[in-house]
Amino acid sequence: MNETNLFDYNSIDDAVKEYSGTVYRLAYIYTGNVADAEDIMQEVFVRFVKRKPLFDSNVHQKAWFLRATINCCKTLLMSKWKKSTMLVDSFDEEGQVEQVADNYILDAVAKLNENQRLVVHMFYYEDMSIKSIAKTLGMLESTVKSHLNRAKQNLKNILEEDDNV
Amino acid sequence: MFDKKYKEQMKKISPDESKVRAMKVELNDIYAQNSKPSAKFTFKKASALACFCLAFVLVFTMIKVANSDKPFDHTYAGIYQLLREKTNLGNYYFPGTAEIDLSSSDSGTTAQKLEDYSDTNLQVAGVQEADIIKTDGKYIYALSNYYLYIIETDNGQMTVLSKFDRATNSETEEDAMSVYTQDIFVVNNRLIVLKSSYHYTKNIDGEIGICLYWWGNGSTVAEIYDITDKADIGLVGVFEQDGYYSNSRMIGNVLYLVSNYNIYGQIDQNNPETFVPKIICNGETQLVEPEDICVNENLDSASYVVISAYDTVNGEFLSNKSLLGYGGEIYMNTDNLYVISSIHEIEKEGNVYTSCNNSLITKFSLNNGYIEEKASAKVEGTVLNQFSMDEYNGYFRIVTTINSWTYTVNDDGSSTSTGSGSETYNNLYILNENLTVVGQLQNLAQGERVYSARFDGNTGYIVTFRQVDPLFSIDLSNPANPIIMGELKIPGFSNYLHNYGDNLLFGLGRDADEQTGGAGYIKLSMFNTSDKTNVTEEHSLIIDGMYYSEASYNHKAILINYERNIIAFPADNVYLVYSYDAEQGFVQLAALDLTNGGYDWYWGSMRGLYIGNVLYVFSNNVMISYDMQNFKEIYSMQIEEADPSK
Repeated sequence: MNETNLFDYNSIDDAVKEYSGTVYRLAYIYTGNVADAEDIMQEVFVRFVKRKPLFDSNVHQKAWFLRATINCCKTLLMSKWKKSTMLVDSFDEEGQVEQVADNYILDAVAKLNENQRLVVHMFYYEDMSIKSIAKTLGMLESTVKSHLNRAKQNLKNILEEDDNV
Repeated sequence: MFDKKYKEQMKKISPDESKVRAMKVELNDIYAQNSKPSAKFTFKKASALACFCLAFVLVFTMIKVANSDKPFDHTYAGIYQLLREKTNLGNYYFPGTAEIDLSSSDSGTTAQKLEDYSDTNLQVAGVQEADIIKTDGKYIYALSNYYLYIIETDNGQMTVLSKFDRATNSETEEDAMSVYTQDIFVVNNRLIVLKSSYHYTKNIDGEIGICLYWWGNGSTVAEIYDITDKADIGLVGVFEQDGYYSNSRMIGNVLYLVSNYNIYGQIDQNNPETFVPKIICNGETQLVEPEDICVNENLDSASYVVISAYDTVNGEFLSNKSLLGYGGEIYMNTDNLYVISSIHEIEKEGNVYTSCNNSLITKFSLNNGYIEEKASAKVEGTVLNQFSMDEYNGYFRIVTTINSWTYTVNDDGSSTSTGSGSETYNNLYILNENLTVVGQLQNLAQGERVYSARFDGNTGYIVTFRQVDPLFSIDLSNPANPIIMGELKIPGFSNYLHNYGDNLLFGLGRDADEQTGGAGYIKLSMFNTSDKTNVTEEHSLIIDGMYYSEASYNHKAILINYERNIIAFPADNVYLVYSYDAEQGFVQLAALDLTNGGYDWYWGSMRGLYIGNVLYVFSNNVMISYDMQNFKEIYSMQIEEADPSK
């Protein structure tokens, strides 16, 4: 095994630099608020440091972080008993979101259900293939396609309604 | 357009810089704390080992991708098509297997209250199983034939706080419904009552009189109650799903409910309600989504195994997966659920046909209530009960009995048995996380079938029987190569095996006549497993005069705890209590006759549980508490018959 597979302080700094944004964004689109996204980011990196996983590629490493983020999100959701309808309100209330102008696309995505939000984010932001999304989420490819199609349909309806096409 | 805008807006979402810096500092601290001098070295070794294992596994396994490459239309339309193709299959199902219980690992009972109290005999620690009686260390919740009781205990004294009807019938002009409570769970501050609900019609048929015809599909209901105030419990949620109650489990606060839903009558392409199961959560109905319907290429009956997860703390539906096909036994640990579906297959070679029942295994991951389908596989034979299956270190082990029947179809259309006609033998399979078979043992104990099985980490114990009972001990430490370490032949058989402490294996079963093979009296065995290549029967006890015990087919009827050194179970109408001594063997502590000498044929189920030093024995007629020092009766509580005025 070569030096790059050894886990050390550099690995932590590199990982945070490389993936804190990825983790945070996914957590944010999933939970809908800054506080939860920060908590989840923290939790994911703590797991990373404690478990010191080995990766054989950057793709593998990114998939690990995405998967860990989703697991933490789901656990958080269970313990906080959040319902998906609350997400829309969270988007409105969070100070961070208010600062960002022109959020209508994010607002639309926020109205989708969990699975659809995840798939939309991974497909459109992370540029992942259906196959890799399926692997990361532990679903069949057909299921992922189904979520994506419904999401597109729903987004079309939401955006047309808001006259923001 | 959308993707560009989404990317634009999403890019602006980033974590607060100061928070990230603080996080880095904390992470460095954690890393420093967790690092040991040899960390780097261990890591090198670990990665080298990982490479080797990977190579080893690749050489021995063939990767089979489950379903993901199939161009299947996973919408209601596609599912309709599939069912249309298969509707001539009818709705036959395969006889259920005996429910033999295997106790869970003896990690001791959960002593969360001041006093130590017993839990239901579970297969897997941390995975609760429903039963007719539960305790939380102070209160006892018990289902008799007619009522659900909530009883307050105080050192043996019992006071009934509430009482609910077990069965209710309601009739209107159009419809009649019967609801029956099957089982309960008590977890944290929640009482979960599982009910079956059936529709029926009354037909007055001339000379015959009134007949009841069950029609349509039953449904399974879970009522969730807040039991903070035991005398006035509050309903916090009601979940209903189509299909007859099949099984249930609870992990933490999540309830997993499994039912079998058969499709009857005409299915209508434009109305998915006619061929898709529905879920009603707190009054809101929803059809199972197409993406949650799992399709298996071996579909051979027009039915679904409906599996749902519910959060019992705040009454929320979490997820559902409905598997096309008929479901039988399940195995669940804290991570995964395995559903076994029995299918009937016929192999043809010329005009010689071999028919047998095989098992489809479908694996689901639980993800704290967000159920996902993972993989499926097919193995030969059928399982006896949940104890025939186990997952350890990611590997799924399953023991099956194959009954195959060979026959020749003659030119005139008649059929004759070929050779010996029927064949019985047993297989053990070891499958990896993707449910690819990596190791197996075949043709074990030909001519015999599995009577009990139990897994204990890297060892598996299997009892087969025709006249003499071989207890096989199998080394499972190498999943690719399971090896029979030992074979102990003793008269009789065990129906139930339980790991008792580190080097003992307890078996409850029957003695057998060596000449005729007929089953005799109830027999207790304690096997010494310190040397797995040479397992011996250290002690045994035959209970004269007793043939029947619910414990031989229902693991929940056994109260067994190594730390408390108690082994108790009902036999005929008596509740027997034993302890085990290394020198003397099985010592009878008490034979509690709740009938006071009488005998009641409609006795029903019996259960025993302890809170502190008091043993409570429950039957359908009476519940009696005993001081466990001397087994003197403390208090006797009548269990009522149905109210005749109703």
